[in-house]
Amino acid sequence: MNNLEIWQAVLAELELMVSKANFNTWFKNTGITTLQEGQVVVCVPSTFSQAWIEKKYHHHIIKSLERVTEKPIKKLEYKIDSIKNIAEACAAPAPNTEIPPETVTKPATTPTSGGFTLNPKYSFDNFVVGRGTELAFAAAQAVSNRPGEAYNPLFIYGGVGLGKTHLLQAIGNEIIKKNPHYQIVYVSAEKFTNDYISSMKGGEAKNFQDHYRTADALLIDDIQFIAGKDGTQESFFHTFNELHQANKQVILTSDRPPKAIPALEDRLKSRFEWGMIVDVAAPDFETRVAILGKKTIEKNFPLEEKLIKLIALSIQSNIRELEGALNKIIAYHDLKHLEPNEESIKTLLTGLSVGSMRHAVAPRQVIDAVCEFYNVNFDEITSKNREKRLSNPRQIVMFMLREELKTSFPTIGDELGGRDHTTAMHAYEKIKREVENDIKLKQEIDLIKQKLYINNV
Amino acid sequence: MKLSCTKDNLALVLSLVGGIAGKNINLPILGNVLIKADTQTVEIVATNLELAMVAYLRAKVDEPGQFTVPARTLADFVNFLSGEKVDLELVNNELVVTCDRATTKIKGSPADDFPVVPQSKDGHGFTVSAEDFKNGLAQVTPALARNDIRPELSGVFFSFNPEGFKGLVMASTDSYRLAEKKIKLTQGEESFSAIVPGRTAQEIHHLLSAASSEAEKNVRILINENQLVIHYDGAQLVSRLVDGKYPDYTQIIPKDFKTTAGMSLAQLTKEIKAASLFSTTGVNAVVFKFAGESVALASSSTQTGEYSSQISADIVGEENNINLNHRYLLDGLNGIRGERVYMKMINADSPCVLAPEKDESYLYIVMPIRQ
Repeated sequence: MNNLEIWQAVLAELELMVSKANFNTWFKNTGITTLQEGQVVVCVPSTFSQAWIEKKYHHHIIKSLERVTEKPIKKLEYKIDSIKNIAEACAAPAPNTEIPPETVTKPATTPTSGGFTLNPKYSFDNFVVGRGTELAFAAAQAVSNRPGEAYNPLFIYGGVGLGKTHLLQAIGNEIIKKNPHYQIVYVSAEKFTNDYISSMKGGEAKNFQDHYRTADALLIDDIQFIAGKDGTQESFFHTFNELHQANKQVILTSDRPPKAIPALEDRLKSRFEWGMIVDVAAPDFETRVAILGKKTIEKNFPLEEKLIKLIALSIQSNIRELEGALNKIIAYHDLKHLEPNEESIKTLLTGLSVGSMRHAVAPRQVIDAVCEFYNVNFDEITSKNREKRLSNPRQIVMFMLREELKTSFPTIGDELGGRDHTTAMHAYEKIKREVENDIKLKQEIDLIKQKLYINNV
Repeated sequence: MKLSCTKDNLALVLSLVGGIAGKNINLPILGNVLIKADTQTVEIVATNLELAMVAYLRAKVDEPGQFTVPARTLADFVNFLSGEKVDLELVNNELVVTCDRATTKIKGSPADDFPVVPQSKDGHGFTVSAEDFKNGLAQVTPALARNDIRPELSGVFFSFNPEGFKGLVMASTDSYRLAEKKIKLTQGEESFSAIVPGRTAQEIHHLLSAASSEAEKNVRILINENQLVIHYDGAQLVSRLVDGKYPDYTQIIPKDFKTTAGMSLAQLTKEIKAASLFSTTGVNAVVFKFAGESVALASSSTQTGEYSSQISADIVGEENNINLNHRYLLDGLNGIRGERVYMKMINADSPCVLAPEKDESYLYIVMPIRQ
């Protein structure tokens, strides 16, 4: 074990002992400078962390060090130093540290390209297949089994947060797993553009070509961003041709199908359509439940089926949002040491966007929600009484019925005690105007909306 | 813990340390001040992990102990008290503050979680007059870089006994202007240099400004590679230093000038302020023309209009003109004491020097705006 690994092992023990905030504050940028014959020098970033670690964790560190190195520690000193200096020292292995063979194996991260790395977190195993993603998933697996042969190029498109990047990286990871010698280039379209530009600037077109054209698989995320950049498109065109000719796999993702990308040259469009185009669609309810179930297991936060369904119902559009909501719920209950229940989750979800929760609501429910909010009752609001106290909520009901439920004006009139459709039209126009200028009114309406959709889950 | 002190003493000490305590997401306790009552003395401590201030509170201790409470809450509250004498007592994890007939309980957290202030060990020791040090800091801090793009420029360069000067040289620059002040040391012969964070420089200035008339006349400085410790009038300030090498700024200070203009400081300041109203926002340019016996100032903006005026001046050397940023100029003029100020320059593309009359210790340089 080298110093870096020893220190990582010590930190791992300390991390369990102290709170996360404390750990991040005090142990960030620390490391072992020297470790020799039971004498250790630990480097710390400042005198403040030195004083604190010395006072609080001195004995713990010694004990951990002894456990990890299985040798007695006679002396532990602290030195203020930048962690960078140590990293450099470690890069050139010190002569007195033995390096057992297993540490010299392949680095943990998969091959990189200029700082862009495949994240090993993304794999096929943790991709939840739903109805909207079946085809994309099958195609991705086929490609990773027979890169360059199955479908070339593979073009994945779909909206934000639906799993395009997950699939793309999973393919990359899978190919590497099966063919460790493969050179995989994974970049975003933006990085590709920047590389191209800097290669033109620096006169290093050769490097650029070497990098991209010798890849065994080229994975480009968000390819729609090269639209409108003619030079980059041309360079991509040639790169693509060369790779395709050599039966090297090309995989692209985009937020829309090739035909719908504006300012994309026709020859590229037709090439994108050459292999296989698959879309990833928004997950249906069952898929969302499955995803949440998987995430709760990953995060070790068991949730009742009922509660998972509640979350899945509230957040419909996108998986990233779904995960965000789950994270929020976990964080909230962890921090407060509470058992999650329906009440607390509903409150938390109220804070999240409601934009995605458009599902069937009956006119009566809208009326009730408004009545409850303004503290008036149903009979009053449908009566002929034109007190200000009643007329304003009544107009808001009309507005919301129109805006949210797209109810026709005559129906709105009927719902509210047989009023004329022109009354409803007037109310709709009036509130619509006011909402634009009156922030308070807008907030009120938003609150009502939230209540409405959350309570009806 | 139980102690009594006067309201004024407490308020003063809290105002000294209060600026350092602040919000920290990872460590909320950094928003608190630590009250540490020994059998004899009481220390009030605040830190943000870059600098820490320990101030001594004159108080009668009935029962030693320590506790931390939110700095803002305590300081704001103490200012509202009307009585003379304040009693502080720790009861069940709450600080009970009694003054006159008012009693308050302030919630806090135990002192065990409060960071330890690193104790000063070895280093180079110097002493400097508090008055000189305070004024010097006020003169150099305006030129500090306000961002962290180049961390070394966000600090004040302290150089003790550099080659060719016996004393302390303080310098700061944001690469558009540079301020340098030389002050005498009352003690200390060693040579040493370090970059002191801008925030620390401001807190030192704050500490020195808050001192009463019967306070100590000298400031003790203890400095080594990692930290700076300031002892003054019972208070102690500990700060980290900025890593990095300060640029060799002395080489950009012009030595020979083509044009030198001496004029009234008050008049120049007034004219620049007037011209600033008509300069283009963001560029802040004011055009200076040195000719004959006067300096002509002009500025113009498409939005507000145009301005021109003249100041009579003693001009030695060639006719010359230069575009300068009025904000930078005013910052520099602010630091100049005396009746007259000298503007020295070479040409429109070289830095312009502002200097007081018969005072070599202060120097302010502004880079011109190139057309």
